[in-house]
This record gives sequence, C-alpha cells and structure tokens, in this order.
Amino acid sequence: CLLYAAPLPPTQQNSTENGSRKITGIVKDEKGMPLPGVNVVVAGTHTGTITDVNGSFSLTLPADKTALEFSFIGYQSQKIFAAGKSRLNVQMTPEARKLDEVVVIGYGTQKAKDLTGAIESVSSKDFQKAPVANAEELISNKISGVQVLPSSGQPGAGSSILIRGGASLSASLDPLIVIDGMPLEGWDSGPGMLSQLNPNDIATFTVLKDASAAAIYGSRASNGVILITTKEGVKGAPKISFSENTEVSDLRKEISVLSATQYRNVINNLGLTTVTPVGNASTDWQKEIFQTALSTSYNLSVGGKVKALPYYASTSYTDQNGILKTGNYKRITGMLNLNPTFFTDHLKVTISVKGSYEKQRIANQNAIWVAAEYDPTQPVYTSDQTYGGYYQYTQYASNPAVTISNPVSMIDQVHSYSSTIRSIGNIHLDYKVHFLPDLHINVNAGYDASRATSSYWTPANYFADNVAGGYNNQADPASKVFNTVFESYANYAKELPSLLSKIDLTGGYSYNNFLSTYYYYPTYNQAGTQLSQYGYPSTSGYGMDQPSHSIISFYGRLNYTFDQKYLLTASIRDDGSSRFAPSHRWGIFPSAALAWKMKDENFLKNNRVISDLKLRLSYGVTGQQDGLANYMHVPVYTAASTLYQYYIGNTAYTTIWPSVYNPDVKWEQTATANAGVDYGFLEHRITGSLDVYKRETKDLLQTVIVPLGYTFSSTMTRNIGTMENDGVEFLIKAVPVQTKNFTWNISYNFAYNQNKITHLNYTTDNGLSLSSDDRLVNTVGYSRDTYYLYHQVYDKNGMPVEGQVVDANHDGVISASDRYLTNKSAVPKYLMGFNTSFQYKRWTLGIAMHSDLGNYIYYQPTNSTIAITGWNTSENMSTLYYKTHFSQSSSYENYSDLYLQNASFLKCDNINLGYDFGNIIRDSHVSLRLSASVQNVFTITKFTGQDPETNSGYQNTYPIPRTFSLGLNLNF
Amino acid sequence: CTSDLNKMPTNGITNSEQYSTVAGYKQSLVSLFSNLAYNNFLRYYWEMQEYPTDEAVGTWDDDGNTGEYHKLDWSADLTAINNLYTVVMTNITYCNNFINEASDANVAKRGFTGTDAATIKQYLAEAKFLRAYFYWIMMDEYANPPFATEQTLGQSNPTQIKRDALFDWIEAQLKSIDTDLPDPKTNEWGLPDKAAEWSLLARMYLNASVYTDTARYTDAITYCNKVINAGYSLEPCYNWLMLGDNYKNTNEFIFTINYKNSMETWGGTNFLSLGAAGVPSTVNGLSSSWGEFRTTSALVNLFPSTDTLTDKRAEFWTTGQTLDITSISSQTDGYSFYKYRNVDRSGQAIVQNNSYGNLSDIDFPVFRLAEIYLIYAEAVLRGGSGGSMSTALSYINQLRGRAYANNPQSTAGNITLSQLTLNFILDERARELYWEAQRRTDLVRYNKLTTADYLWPWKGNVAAGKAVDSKYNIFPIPTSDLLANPNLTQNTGY
Repeated sequence: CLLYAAPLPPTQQNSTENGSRKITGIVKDEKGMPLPGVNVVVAGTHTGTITDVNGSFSLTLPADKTALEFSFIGYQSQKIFAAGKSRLNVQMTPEARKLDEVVVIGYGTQKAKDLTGAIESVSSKDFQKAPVANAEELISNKISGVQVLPSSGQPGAGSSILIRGGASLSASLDPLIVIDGMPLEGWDSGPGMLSQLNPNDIATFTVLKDASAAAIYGSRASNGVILITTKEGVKGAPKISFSENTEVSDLRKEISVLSATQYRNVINNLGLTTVTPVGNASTDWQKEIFQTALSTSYNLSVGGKVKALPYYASTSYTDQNGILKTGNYKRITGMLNLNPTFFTDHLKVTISVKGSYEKQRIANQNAIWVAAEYDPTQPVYTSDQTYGGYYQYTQYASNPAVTISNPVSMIDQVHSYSSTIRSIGNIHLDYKVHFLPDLHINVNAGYDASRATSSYWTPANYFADNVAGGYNNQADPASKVFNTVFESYANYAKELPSLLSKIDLTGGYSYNNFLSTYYYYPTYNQAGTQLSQYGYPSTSGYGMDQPSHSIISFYGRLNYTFDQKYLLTASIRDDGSSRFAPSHRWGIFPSAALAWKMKDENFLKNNRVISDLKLRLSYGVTGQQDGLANYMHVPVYTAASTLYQYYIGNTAYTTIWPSVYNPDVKWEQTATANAGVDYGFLEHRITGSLDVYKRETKDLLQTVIVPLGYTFSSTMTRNIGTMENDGVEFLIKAVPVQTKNFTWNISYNFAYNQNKITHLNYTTDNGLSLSSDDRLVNTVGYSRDTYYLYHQVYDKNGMPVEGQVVDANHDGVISASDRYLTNKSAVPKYLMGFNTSFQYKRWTLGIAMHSDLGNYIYYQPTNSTIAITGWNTSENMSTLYYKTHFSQSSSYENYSDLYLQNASFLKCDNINLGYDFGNIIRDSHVSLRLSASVQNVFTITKFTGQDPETNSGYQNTYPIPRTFSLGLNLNF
Repeated sequence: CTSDLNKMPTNGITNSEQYSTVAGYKQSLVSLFSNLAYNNFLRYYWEMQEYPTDEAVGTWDDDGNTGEYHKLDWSADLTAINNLYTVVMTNITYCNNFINEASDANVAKRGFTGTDAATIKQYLAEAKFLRAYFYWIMMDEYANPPFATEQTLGQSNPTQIKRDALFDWIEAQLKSIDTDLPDPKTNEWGLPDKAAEWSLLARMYLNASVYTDTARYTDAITYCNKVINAGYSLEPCYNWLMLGDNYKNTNEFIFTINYKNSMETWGGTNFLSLGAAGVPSTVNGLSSSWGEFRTTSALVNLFPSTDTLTDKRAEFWTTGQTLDITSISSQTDGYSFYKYRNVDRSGQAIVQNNSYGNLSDIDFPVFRLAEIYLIYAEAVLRGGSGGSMSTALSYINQLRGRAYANNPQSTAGNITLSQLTLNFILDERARELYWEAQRRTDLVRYNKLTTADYLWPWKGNVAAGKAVDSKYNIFPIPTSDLLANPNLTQNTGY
C-alpha cells in the first residue's frame, strides 16, 4: 500500500472533547481512480462506513483506536495507522494474483507464496462465468492437468473429475473431495457427488496435485485432493444477492441413421424381405424422444456480521428438464455458515450446515439406442389400444424380451423416480491456547447423512412388461447413508528470529466411519401379484444390507522456513482401513518438499522484469483403497434369494454361497516426484507455473481374471502390477491490456500425461487376462486402456471387406492372437484449456474452450451393419452402411480396427456476455447484472459420433446438450 | 480406539457358524446340487452336446455364439465354449470348498460324533460324486482341464491334468465313496445314491477308449448289472418321461436335476420346452414359445414316421415347420420336438407359481435306466464280458416295446439278434435319448462327429454336410483361462 498524502498540520485537527476525531479521505484503485463501495472499518470495532461514488469516506475514530481497515473484494485488505492524521488517502492494491492469498491446505492454511507443493486454487472470481448446474463445472478447464468430464447429459448427472489422468487402473480415479473440512469419500464418489451442492455457495476450489501437498490425506490421496470452501459472512452491512437463470437446452447432434426413405431404398435395392414388413410411415424416432428443454434456477443468499458473529445463509431452487422427454430434476438447497469467535479471538468456531432435497424423474435412457435402431417406416401410434396405442412388434407379444419396444413407449410408459434428502454439517473449533498462543488446538466433528427413495412402475399394457402385467416397485427408503468424521489436531507455529527460522508443526488424529443402509422391497405387477421378494431383478436373499467401513489415521506435518526464502515441508500419515486384513491394515504415507523463493534473493530482488520466481521439488507416497469392496478379506457365506431355492424331494432349501475373498489385498501406493516453477513477469501481468512429474503406482488394485478353480469366481480383486505416469503441466495467465475502460485477460493451460504399465504380477505381458473389456486391455509397455483389435481387411478400392480381418500369425485361423495392440488408448495424451475475458466499461465477454488430443473411441454403432438379418426384429442402420455396405454382422467385426476413431477435439465450452448496470436505484446499493451465455457451443473433431468427450473408450449414452441461458443478478 | 477396523458384513455368516450344525452342512450340500439347476449349466451343456450334431440347430446365435457349434468350426475365443467351462469349473470349486469343510478333521474339530458325523460323511460322499460328475464333463468336452481340488483351493493355480490321468482319478474317486453313499433308491429325490455312482462309472467305461485308449467294456457291463439289479424298471409310457410331474418316474430315473416353477431360471428344462420351435403354448404347458431349436432331417430319418403312430418316441412338431433346413437361422426350417412339456400325465398344464408363466417343473434325468440298458447292449456288442447278447437283446426290446406299445413287455417293436448291431445301437440311442444332452459323446465314440462316415445337413456349414478336422472331437481350452493360468497348454489343433 501507498500513502501518498502528507498529514495535515495539527492545528487543523478536528478533535472532540472525548478525544475521538473525524477522519476523511479518498480511496483509489491501482490506476488512481476513485473506488466506491470500499469497506472502511475502525480496527478492532464493528463500526465503519463505505466509500461513496467518489471514493470518499468520512468517519469518527474513537480516542482509544488508532487504525482503520480497508477492504474490498478483489483487493488486498489493509490496515492503516491514523495516529495524528485527519485525512487519509489510500490506494488499494489488487489482490496480488495469489501471492498473498491464503490457500487452504490439508488441516490448515498457508500463504500462496509459501507453498511448496503443486497446488492450484481457483476462487469465486475466477469461476466459469456461465451458469453451471453442478459445482465441479465451476473449475472446468481452469486448472492444468484437471479434467472435468461430463458423465451424461441427464439433468443433475454431474461430471467426474480426473487429476493428472488418475493414478489407478480400476480401483478408482476419483480424487478425494473435502468440503469445509468434511471428506466426502466413501459414498457415491465420482460423478454426481457434488450435485447436491449449490454452486453459488462455493468460495474456493483448491486442487492438491502432487504428493507433498496431498500426502497429508495419505491413503485416499493418490488421485489428488480437492478442497472446497464455502462462503462466509464478512463484516459490514448484510449483503443480499439474488440471481435467476433461465436455460434452454437441445440435442446438438443425432445419431446418424437412415431416414425412412433411405431405409426403404436400401431394403428394396437389396431385394430383402425384412423380419417386419417395411411400413409406410416416416418416423424420426430420435426426434420423437428428444425435446427442447427449459430449465430455471433461483438463488438467494445473505451474508454479513451481527456483532461478533459472521454469517452466511443461502437457498436455491433448480428445476431442470432433460432433453430426453419426461426427464426432470428439481433441487432445493439451503446452507448456513456461522463463524463466531470467543475469548477475544482465542476460540474460533466454524459451524457449517448444508442441506439439499433432490427429486427427479429419470427418463429411460435405453430409449436412446432403441430410437436409433427402430424401424423408421413404422408409425409411433396405432389405433389398436392393446399396448396403450403405441405401435409395437406384436408378433413377439408372448416373449417381448426377444425384440425391442417402441422407443416412445419406453419414454412415456416407464416411470422411474427418485428423491434424496441430504445434509452435510460440521463444527470446527480452533482454540489458540491462552498461555501459549503459538499453539492451536483444533477439533472437527461432522456428518454426511442422506436418505433416498425410489419408485419404478410400468403399466400392464407396456409392451415389454405386458406378460408380467406391468411392474411396480416402491422403495421408501431405498437407502440411507450416515458417514461421520471426527478429527483433532494441534498446530504449533513459532518464529525463531535468532535462527532466521520459522517452524510450523501440525499433528493429529482422524476417524472416519462410512455406513450405508440399503433396503430391498418386493416387486408387484399392476394387479398386485408379488413378482419377486426383494426388488427386480433380485439376487439378494436379504431385505436389507448395511455395508460399512472405517478409516483411522494419525498424521503430522512440519513446515520449516529459513531466511524467508528456503522452505521445507515434510509430512507423514499412518492410515488404517477396515477393508484390509489385519496383516495389511496399516499403511504409511510420507512426503517431503523443498521450495526456493529465488525472487527474494538479492540478485533478483530488484529485477523489474521478473516479479516472482519460485522453484519447487517434492516427493511423496500416497495410497488408494477406494473402489474396493468393504469385506473382501473376510470369508463369509451369504444366502441367495428365495427365487434360487433348490428342492430335494419336496423340501425347499435356501442356498448359501461362500464369497470370493482375498486376505492378501493391500494398499495401492503411488510415489510421485514433482519439480515445478512458479513465475511472474512485468509486475504480475504475466503469471503461471510449470510442473513436471513422475508418478509410479505399485500394487495396482484391479479385479482380474483368475485361473478357474482357484476361487469361487473367475474374477478377483488383486494387487496386480505397476504403472507409471509422466507428465508436464504448464499454466500461463496474462493481462495483455489493462486500461481504464478495457481489460483483456487470457489464461491457457496445457498438460501432457504419458501413462504406461510397467509390470504385471500374475500374467505374461500380453495383458489380455487383465482386460476389463474385450477391446480395451492393460498390457506391459502400453498405456492403460489400449485397444486390442484385428486389422480390418480392405479391398483394392480401400473399401472394408465384410467379415474379414487379417490373420496376423498366418495360422489359417482367426483367433485372439491375431489381434494387435494398437498403441492407441481411450485416454487423452494432451489436455488444453483456454479462457479469455474482455471487460469494456460495464460489458464483459468471456470465452472458454478446451481440447483433448490423442484419445480414441471405439465407435461401432450397434446397428452398423444392415440388420435385416437381425434377430427377431427389423433394425434401422447407421449411415455408416453407405461406407461399408456390410450386410451382416460377424463376430470378428466387433473387434475390427475399422471402428476405432481418433476422438481428439476442441470444444468451445461457453461464450458468455454480461452487462453490469451498477446501482439501479439512486442512493442505494442495489446493483444489477444481466448475462447471456451459450454452453457446449461447438466441437471441432473428426469423430463421427455425437460427442468425443469421454474417457471410457465408448461414447456416452445420453448426449450433453447445447444450452442457451439468460441470467439476472441483483445485489443489495 | 482402532477396534472399529474389525468389521463384518451384515448379511454374511462365517464358515464356523454355517458348519456348526448338521443342518448347516445339509444346506451347503444342497447348494452344491442347486448348481445343476442354475447358472445356465444345463442350457450350456445341452447346447454343447446337441448343436454340433444332427440332433439340433439353433435359430439365434445364442449364449455366446452357439451358432458356431453347428458349423464344427470354432476357436478358443468362442464365448459359448468358455461359458460351460466357467460354470463347471466354478461348480467344482464350490464342491472343493465343501469337501474341505466336511473333512474328517474339520468334522472332528467341530465336535460332531456318532450319527451326526456319519451323516456328514455321507454328505461328503455326495459332494464328491457331484464333483466327479462335473470332472467327467470336463474330461469329455475339454479333455485336459485344469485340476482343482480341495488342496489347491485358494492356495495355488490349478495344474493341468491329462485326460487319461483324470479318468483314473474320477474312477478312483467314485469307487472310494461307494461305501458312504446310500443304497440305490434310498436317498432323497435329487441326491445321488450308489446307483448314480455306478451309472456314471458305466458311462465312463463305455467311453473309456475315447479317454484313455484302453477299452473297459467289461467294467461297463459290471456296473450296468449293478444298476439293473438294484430294482429299477422302465416307466410304461415314453411320453411320461419329460413332463412336469416326472418326479413320479422313480422306477426309471436314477439321478435327477430338480425343477419347480417357483425357481427362476431360463437355463433349465423350461429352456428345452420353450426352445422347441413351433410348439405352441397349448402343447408345452407354458405361456409362450421361443422358436429356438429344431432338428435335422438326418434325425427325422431314423424314425419310421414323423408321428407317434408307430414309434411313440417320434414326438415331432411339424406344423408350420419344413423338413429341410434352407437357412439355419430360420425358425421354421426343420422339425422340432414336443418331448419336454410342463404338463402332467393327464395333459393338464402345471399351475404356475410365478408371474412369467414359463418356468418349469420338469426334472432332468441325468441318468435313467434306458441309458443303462443301451450301455449294456453296446458294451456287449463291443466285446465286453460278463453279459450276454440275449440279455442285451431283451433290454433293447424292452425299450422298443415301450416305444411301440407303451409296454416294455410288448413285442411290438422287437428286433432280432441279427439286427442288434453297433450302428443300430447308435440309432436307437438317438431315438431314445434325443435332446437329452448325449449325442455329441455318442458320435465321438463312434468316430462319426467329424468324419465323412456320417454326414447330416449343414455339418461343417454346408447344406449337404461335410467332414471336418478331427480336432473338433474335443473343445479347446478357452483363451481367457489359458491366459489367466500359466499352467495350461492348449489342446492339439487349436
């Protein structure tokens, strides 16, 4: 901060009798322009004021007070001593692009400039400007090496988050998510886990990428850790914020199949008789099941401080319609954060309670592929009311399982509902010990509780369920979750000026318990006859199940700073998990990191070009136990459902089965070495970081094929091998133009990740036995999920030859050994994110894009071949028919490289335009902002399917829609 | 405060709890036998025994591309081949687990004595019989399967056993349990007795030269005699055999897989009833018909006519079906049979205790007396001693008496001694045992499955039929297990 006005002569001092005096002044921004709305508070009190439109303020300073605090969003707060002054001119400094920002780390906070690990934090001002339905989308394409992958276009579905490509083969790739100190792992991790949160409540996302940062979370940190904080009340008058958003979504691209006319032509040209005679109708089945969907959301929040009690409360309502007809998702959320302090700031208490209620009708997604296959020459409706008036392949009425149903009937007549009520809450006490203020003792206790219901029914005249007389299954409750956490840790921070040192020690204990309860109910038909005892389909012999697991941990961390330039962090965590046999139960996860703040060295201190330079080095070990079954090491018997009883004579016996168990399963461990540099140039107009890392995961957990006869199944979860990830991450942010009226921001991030399996324990390295899918295999020397396919045979004109693949080993037989490792994987090698924003006076324009390169998708439309020879039904064909002219499917064709496509893409995620009206009512603080945006704007790709974005190797069933939205923001 | 890390599933019980009572042992034993009825075991086995032969073709490439079976042109990748392999090996593993739990040491350790200990010893013998039966299937289909026992369970990857060594092992196993198994016809319906063990031995000895290159016809006759002398007799009517109330066939059935229509599976005898193409629900006693399998004209030609006027076993369904097969995937090409019907002896459909209306009450006879008669006759014809041609002829004529006159004592269908040849036996087996999952084994034993000696429509995937490579007499070890288990080597030719 700069004080640029000299104090006025004492004679002009405007004192009063009790010693208090009036102070006036002007607050300006970094360009010297007056800054209205700045909070000016007498330090140590709750009295204060706000600067007016000219940046001027005026207040009375009590005699016993000497300082004023100035704060404004986006700027560094500052405390200025006013001793002997009656006029203060203050210049605010923009929140210096992270450097002084306090970043949440595991079990504590740290100044960004003192970080030693690869940590990136995004706060609310940098979130995606377009309205988002799910919290994780706030940071999509904002952070290098972090993929936010939309899992489905279904309303409320959410996205999965992948950090540095994930460290596991199949155990889990989901990072640990900690919200306000509450770890959410253990239940419903992965896509949708954050769906019950209101995105507007979130203040910061912090991503711990390397091992030194994450290792404090030990066994759950291999895939990285995401720390989320929610908003807190700030001092000053209550701030009320209201926003409303209206969206219209539509299908961006249909699956490319023949039209009715094309279909009739193909059939006629081939002279074929179809299983179902060609009809006269022209139906675009995809049009029939998709719709343009309208969604709205409202959000209201209030934050402020009542005496010593900062508070923040919010509520929101979302009503989303799916582009697949009948799909609807409603969500109500509420949140309250209280941050009181006691005993003159010795005890800080944080109480946070979040609640949500979701209710949805889930549209039948199977209708999507059926719509692509259903005969386009048949009508949607018929006069015959036997099946509710829907056209059906009635010749299979006695056994509809052998055919497919009219997709419109699948949408209209399948009624699937669910609802979830969930609350996450915790209380955190931070006690600064009275006789030893360097010591803080923290206690954190919290819960994550939910209750879900489901309802599924079909009418008796629904073609597919007609034989049974319809279905009806009501589950209330369907499941309950009660997860608890209790943590206690102490922190001791001490400056040792004589040694030029600062130490900061943390040590603690953590207890997590995860408890779910599932309830199973009978299924009835519409006449009320019980069809099955416990749900449909049912294999359980029990009316309920209550799986549970716990993790108990001890951890410690040392931060040591020498001469304010040399930083050391070391941490260790000892985790015990109930998921492992006693002999493998505990795992130790250490880490260490060094950082050197080069900028603070004499040789750079006065350099005007380089404004920041820090080198970082770290190494650490993290673990993984997510994705494992809870009781895998325990040999037990379970009973089968009464549907699977067996009769000896006339006596029915309930059958019992030993489960597959493996007492040898142990922790998956990932060792990561990371080297990075944080840089800033030209007074931070350009900032960023560069990281390189090497990550080795050993004892990979995967469910693999085991020799038959070894145990009760052909598959079993084992520690199967070792995998490496090597990568580079680069981030640059720049402000190319910054003038009074116009600001232009750019940020770009790039990540390269090379994944390679280096060792497999149980098999030869052909890898086939490790495949979770026939086409995707995990093999030594190759990336995980590498395609293993036949070479397609082409004729001299370059046309693929039907049913012919290359007999690579020339043994005259086509067998799996003729397939080859394509060296092409479902996992992208390069990820890029690009964001830019323009601010001109009151206008803002933002564009966000991202790109995945080097990823492949096996795109074989199920009806890629002319399916006239299909089984019990006439199926429409993919337009791929015109390229292949295949007339029947062959088993080899399902593994032909003909269908492997490069799915690299560039996606424009959103374009948003906003206008800030400022104060819309004279002499008030009511400000208005309007915005318009388009999401999923366009995709540039050679991939011929609907959407190339996926990590599974196959395109998502439910396509991500394109969305247009209009939003309104009111702040008082 | 780390004791919370010891957790047990809510719905699981430990083996010490399960095996604390004799009833617990019984429940576990019955669970092993339920594996015969579930997991599509019968369906996969039946498809493997019937589709490669003249007895059946399938409309759909079902259950892992079973269409390849009829072509006699499969590879180790074929899912269908892996299906049966996986189910049977898994069933063997369950048996191994029970055999461990029922070992003398464990029984003694758990404090069982006297009658309780003796009962568990009988259960142990019954489990060993079941395991021997599953291993016989592995030996017959895959020749050299992995050899998993109670000792290797959870300890080591099974090693591969050669076909002849496995033959010796099964033979020894069966003989070792002879004293512990109940006497013929004294065990509960669905559990094996001595006669079941003897029947399996007889069947194995008949095929011994296929498995070991050493003929054992005399042994086959010995064990047939043991069964026949145990008091079995033919049921009077052939068309009673595969009905919904065939639990009444206690005179003839030696060991069965039991079904009740409260049991939910489409891989048991309802598959055989529903699957027969063209047979309407009014005939099969079920709510529908699947149009799945038909037979070739080669089988039709073995019968005097396509109706039951002469030979009552000729239960052909011809309505809407053509005799010849133009397209294998056309459900109307080829006659089918209405042999399996979920009706009682009076023709009434069995009342369905389920919402599907198509589950079955038809028990599947794994061994029945008719087969024992046929084994006896064939073994005598092939030179085994301990039997006689005249006795063989009388057994065959009992089968024919029943076939022609619903009376085993009738002479209506009698043949003469000179007509009793090996080829006649093979044909008679087809007439008597068609669609009972016997045919592939029979054709292999007669060296007719792959050779030009016997052609049927679409054998080798040509309409007239053609010879194929002799490697198709056995199935390959499925690729997945070959890759998972480094101890295995592939069968010759694959």
